Amino acid sequence: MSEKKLNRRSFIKKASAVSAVAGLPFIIPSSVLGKDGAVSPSNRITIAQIGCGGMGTGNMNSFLNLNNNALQFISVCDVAKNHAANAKKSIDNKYGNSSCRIYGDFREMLEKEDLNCVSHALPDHWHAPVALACARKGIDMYGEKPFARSIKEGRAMCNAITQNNLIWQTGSWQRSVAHFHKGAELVINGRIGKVEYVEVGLPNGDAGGGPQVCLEPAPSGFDWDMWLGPAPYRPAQNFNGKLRKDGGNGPHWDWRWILDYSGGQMTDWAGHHIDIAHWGLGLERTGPVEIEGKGKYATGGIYDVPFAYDFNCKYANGVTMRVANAAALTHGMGACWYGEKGWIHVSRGGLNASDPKILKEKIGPGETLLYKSYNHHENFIDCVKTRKETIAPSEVAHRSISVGLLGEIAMQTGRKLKWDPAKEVFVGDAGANSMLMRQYRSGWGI
Amino acid sequence: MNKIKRIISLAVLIVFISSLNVFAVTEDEVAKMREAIPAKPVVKPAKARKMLMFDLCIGFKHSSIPYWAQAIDIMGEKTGAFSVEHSTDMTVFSDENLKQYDVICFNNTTSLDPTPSQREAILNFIRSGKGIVGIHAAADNFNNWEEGKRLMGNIFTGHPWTSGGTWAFKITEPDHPLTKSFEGKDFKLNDEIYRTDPPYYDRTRQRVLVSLDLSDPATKNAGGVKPSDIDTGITWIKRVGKGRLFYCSLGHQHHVTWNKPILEHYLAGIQYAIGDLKVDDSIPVVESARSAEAIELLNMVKQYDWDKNQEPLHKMTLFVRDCLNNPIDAKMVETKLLEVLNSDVNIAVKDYICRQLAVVGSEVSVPLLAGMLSAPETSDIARYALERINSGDVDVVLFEALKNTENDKIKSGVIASLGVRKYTDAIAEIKKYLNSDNENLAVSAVYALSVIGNEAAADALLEAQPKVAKERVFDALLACGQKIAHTGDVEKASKIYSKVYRLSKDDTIRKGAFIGLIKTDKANSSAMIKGAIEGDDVAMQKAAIQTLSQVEDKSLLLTIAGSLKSFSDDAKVLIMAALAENSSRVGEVQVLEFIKNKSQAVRIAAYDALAKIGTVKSVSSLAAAGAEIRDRKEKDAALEALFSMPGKAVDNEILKLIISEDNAGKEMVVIELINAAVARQVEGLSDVLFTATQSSSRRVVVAAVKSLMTTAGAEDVTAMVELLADKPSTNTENALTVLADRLDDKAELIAKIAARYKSLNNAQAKSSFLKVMGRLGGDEIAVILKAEYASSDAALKEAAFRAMTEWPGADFIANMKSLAVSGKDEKTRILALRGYLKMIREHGGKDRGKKIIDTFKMAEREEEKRMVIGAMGDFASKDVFEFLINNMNNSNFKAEAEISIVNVAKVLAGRCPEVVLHTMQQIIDSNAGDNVKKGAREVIDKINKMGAFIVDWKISKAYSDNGMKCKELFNRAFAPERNEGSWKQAIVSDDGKIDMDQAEAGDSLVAYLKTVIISSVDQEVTLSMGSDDGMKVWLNDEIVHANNVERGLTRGSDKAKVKLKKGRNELFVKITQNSGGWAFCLEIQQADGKRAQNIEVDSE
Repeated sequence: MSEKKLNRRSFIKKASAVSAVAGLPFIIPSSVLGKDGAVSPSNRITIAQIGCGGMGTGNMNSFLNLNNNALQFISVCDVAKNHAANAKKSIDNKYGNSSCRIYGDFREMLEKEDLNCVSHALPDHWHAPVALACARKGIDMYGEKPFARSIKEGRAMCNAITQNNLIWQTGSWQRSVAHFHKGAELVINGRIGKVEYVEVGLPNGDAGGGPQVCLEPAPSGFDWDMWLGPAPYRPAQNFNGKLRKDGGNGPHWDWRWILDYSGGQMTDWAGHHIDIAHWGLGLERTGPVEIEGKGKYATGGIYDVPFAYDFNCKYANGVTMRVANAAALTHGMGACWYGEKGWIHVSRGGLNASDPKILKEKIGPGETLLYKSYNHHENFIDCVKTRKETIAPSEVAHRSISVGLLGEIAMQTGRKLKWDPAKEVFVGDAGANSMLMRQYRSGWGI
Repeated sequence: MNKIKRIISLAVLIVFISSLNVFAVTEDEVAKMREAIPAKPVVKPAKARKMLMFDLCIGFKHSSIPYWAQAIDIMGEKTGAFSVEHSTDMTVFSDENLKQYDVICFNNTTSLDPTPSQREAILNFIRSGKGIVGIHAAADNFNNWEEGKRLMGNIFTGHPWTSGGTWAFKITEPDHPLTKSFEGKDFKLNDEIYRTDPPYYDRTRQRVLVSLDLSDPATKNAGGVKPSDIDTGITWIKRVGKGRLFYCSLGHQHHVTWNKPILEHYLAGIQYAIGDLKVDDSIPVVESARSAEAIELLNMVKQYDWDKNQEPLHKMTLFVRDCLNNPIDAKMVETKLLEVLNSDVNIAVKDYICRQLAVVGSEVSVPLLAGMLSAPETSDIARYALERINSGDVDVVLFEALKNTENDKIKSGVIASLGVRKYTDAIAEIKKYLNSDNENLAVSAVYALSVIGNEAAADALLEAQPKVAKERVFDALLACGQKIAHTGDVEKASKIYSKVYRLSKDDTIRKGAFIGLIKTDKANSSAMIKGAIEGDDVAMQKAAIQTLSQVEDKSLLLTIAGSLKSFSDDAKVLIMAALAENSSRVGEVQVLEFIKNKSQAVRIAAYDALAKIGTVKSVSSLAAAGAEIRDRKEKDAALEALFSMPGKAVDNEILKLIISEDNAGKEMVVIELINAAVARQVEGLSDVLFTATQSSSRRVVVAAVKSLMTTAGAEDVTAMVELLADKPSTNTENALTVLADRLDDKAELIAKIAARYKSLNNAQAKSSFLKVMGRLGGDEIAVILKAEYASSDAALKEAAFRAMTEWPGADFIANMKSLAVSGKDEKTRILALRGYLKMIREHGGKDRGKKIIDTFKMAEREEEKRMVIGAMGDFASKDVFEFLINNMNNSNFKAEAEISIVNVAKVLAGRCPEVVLHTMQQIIDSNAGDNVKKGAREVIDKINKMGAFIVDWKISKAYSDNGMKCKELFNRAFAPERNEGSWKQAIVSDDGKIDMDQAEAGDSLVAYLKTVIISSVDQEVTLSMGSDDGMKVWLNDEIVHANNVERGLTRGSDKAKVKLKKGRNELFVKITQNSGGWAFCLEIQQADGKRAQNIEVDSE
């Protein structure tokens, strides 16, 4: 009997034991609550998709493909009408009916629909306002990484999720992939000895420079003002000419290169590889105490995110993490932990070590067994049912992206920054502290 | 200050002052001070002035402190400019106490760390119009207090100019009243001088009167001087609110306290700080060297609009960041930005300028930005800058804007900004908007108060009478509760939660309040949880259980676990599940009691919980339960817990209990413990199992021996041999055989078993040894077998003979052959024949086909013939195939022949498909039995499916090289390329694909395939191949194709035309693996793409 089978057996057993508990169903749609707290026999989990672009429909289809009869998409929301319509079509096709409802404003949807959970995939500047609105309604969430666009937004999200005892899963799906799990588990169990240095390689921010500006009225069927939401005003903008090309779809993907909406590849991928590096180090619920680094920013066109970046973080226990463009690092993309006895590198390409024998080592029952998930979307739904913490919960996601955001501030200020991970403030640097929150347009708050 | 404190501080003060007088300053020195100190004040004080001289040191203590205490005392006394009170008690810094003083003098204090209220008091003191004086080390305080460092105008970072040297000083402002005593003359002095670095030393915020003179060679060449030290300030003054600061760096050395010009300098400084001496303390404008650059960049920025390229903006942004390194440049760039903002530029430029002011702006920017707040089109962009500017003025202008504007949209933005800035003075005003019927305003007010999040904000929210967004008010209160609890005031937080819990009708909010209450109201938390779990409010039930599974308070968990008995069975189950989920892992002892509960659901829940929270204490109970319980579900739960409980201590406890005396009579308990230990892969288990083999219980012995089959390793060889000698049985024999299979090198085992055999005297043991030895092989053992076979002991002889029939080598092939013919009885002959057939199959060499046909001929009895025909199925050669075809109709062994024909045909199909196809067709057309016809059709299908694929291959093991990647491995020659390495028959799927994972699954690997193609003519054929990832192909030792790629498998993606010579052609293939799939396929084709004719394949 292999180790894996044993664990799997325990896992299944545990999950079913908890969810089958004693006639007190954990899922109770709010529609059936009311008179004397009576419980409906229905175990349906209602879900909606907010943001139906590439990532959003990808996540939505992953949920649909779980073929979980209890899970029911009841509505979709997008500021681009054709995106929302396409998403509705997929859902209706799956269910063989036409009952999926469409919204352009998530606030209206949250008011009208009776939702247990929401899956959202939005530009980064939208993560906090949507997540907080859902949290206030007691809705569990599957949300995309990076967790938030600023540290204070992230903290507010974590607080609201804790306050309302909600289930949150971040789209940091690498955690649910076996070889990432294995790499982190080997490291945390000391298979390369004590780790004092980690390298995290993230994609090169190739969009540096960027195209000329194309300014034109927002196409019909696209709510530009809503798309901007809390971000500073800017007239409808045709990023990369895409608004026109696909018939009014919106500023898809290329918002990634503008600081008002995103920190570029650096903050996008911090939610993946820094997340994994933290996992192996057991530092996933704290943060560095010192950050220093340099960045190169786009110099032409409409883009302004850093395309080259290289920063170092020091943690209270002495570990140093270097985060840089993949091209600058020996092992390229991914997380590479360097320990006293060797190194382990994990990336989407696979798991490698200074000595391949390390990778064959087993982790025994008495050791630290990291949370195991076999399917990232299923793990969320399981946890919605069992009320267990997901494999990528809010606090962990917040701490992962915090490193990217701290790096961003260190690069922008050009100063060595001291960070207090407990209080989440810079020590003795009011200028840097003012950058922990983004400025919102009037009418928007979190 | 209360009375007792006052007395203590007075006592301290007396001791301190007397210590100064008695132990430090000599009478001579005092006399010199009196001589040097001026007789008159610089200016007559407006009224009696009182100085608080603060002499406390937390860090380094300067020996000049008593000198300065004395000198300033005398100065006050002699000039009448002020009187002095001394203190070393931090509590003097309170608004109330400081009222009595006109000036505070920090006398070489170090590392002071005032509390927040003391900080406030110091700032309030100076801002209100009073003075602060700093002597030398006064710039070595407030490391943890940003405003304190700014207040003093420098923070200690080192002193390249040490007290051993004499340094040069220049009077930066010779005409200033405060430098009058130097008479405009630069001077040299022996003293220690602090470095002054930005950002705290900031010429845009302080007026520097005396500086270090780095044109002096000795001063310039002091150790550790860096270029930026060119501006090292000695004396500076500045206005702070309505008050004044005077600092002078001189005063480390004692002799400074009787230096006449310096003492006069100090006197003037003190009178300035007090407010009696009016001097010009405005900040002189220092020209930045970069203003031309700024103007040029900004001229480009001015041309910007939304539809223009942003390149000029990006350049300006980098320039602004660069200017932050120098306060003068920063001030300059701020001024230039403001000029542009104040000019006639479009909104896009203004937006950009405001974003830069957010970075570089100071109180200087505030008035202009404030003016923009009231216009709808500029209000937001002005706020972007204001929110980040570090100045109290911002709060004031935002507050004014809130009161003065009529525009609701502007109001809502300003309210939010006041919240972000946590401006508590605005709470009362913001509170008014909570009751607004404009939703945007009401929500902004809620948001601002929740961001401020303190007690006052919470009170404002609690008093709200909201018309809209009522639940948002409650939600904000919960957020305040979290923040207040985080600061440590759980009592206040708990009051807030309690009110929200009572007032809200919303389940989500009430749940949040309930959870908050449990965390903050510890005294009642267990009662609340109990009430909620037993109550009929489902939302609260859920909240209680979830909280229990997450709460970090161990005592709460233990209280609940301790009162489990008082809950209903359903609740018990839920609570135990929550305990299991909680990462604190507490409650084991309490839960353990419930494995005997009368409800099975409760018992199972207890086992499930113990799986997570159990420790050594639970091991024996769980083992006992696992052994005794009949019900499968419950038994599994108990055993699962025994398997899952974490920790090495549990492992050790299990080992201990397996061999414990107490368990001697409980064989089922011991067996379950053994099973758990095997499943947990407990280290050191084999030793314990060997001990357990001595148990008096036969079942325990059997369990131990069977477990050794999985656990024993190379280090256990000796003990296993002894065990076989001691407890000969089929199980022991099997355990030893399995161990032998696991060993990389059997030599040691063979030597040991042979040696031990010689000293055996127990017949049963001998027989067991012989049986095992027969499976092991080895020269030493062969000798023993031969000897024992010659023995006169019939039983031994028989055992030796049986061992020989199973022998893995070829040593006894002749014996077997002869015994098969001439054995003493039928049983012997049959056993010998079986042994002989096995041996020629394994060791028969190329002509083993002929050998088995010969064996058939020598077989006499039908039973023997049937055995030989049946064995032929494993002899895939053309002669055997032909022989079987010819004899398939003999009714004595028809059934065996048919099975063998099909088995042989299946193998030969891959080697010589033409011949097999022809023969199979003949069988189908003949009057053969149904079974053989069915088999023949299957073989034909297989051949058709195979097409041109080569399916008979030998595969190597997988190779890798330390960290080498796929593409590098392609060019690295491993053992098989040197005719080394071991090979096994490859498994090929029906569609011709060879899954290379059978060599070994993994990433960055290489493996090889080989076979031989026998062509009956010289001919040209095409090798049509596909590989995942790269491939290199040799034919007769020449490379005929190479493709170093990383890709998936596509049939026929690569083609190579090759010449086959008549006879044997050796085909050799290397396949590399990056990650993911790993496979290869090869078709051998003639010109039309069909399988090449006149070839056979033989990987042997």
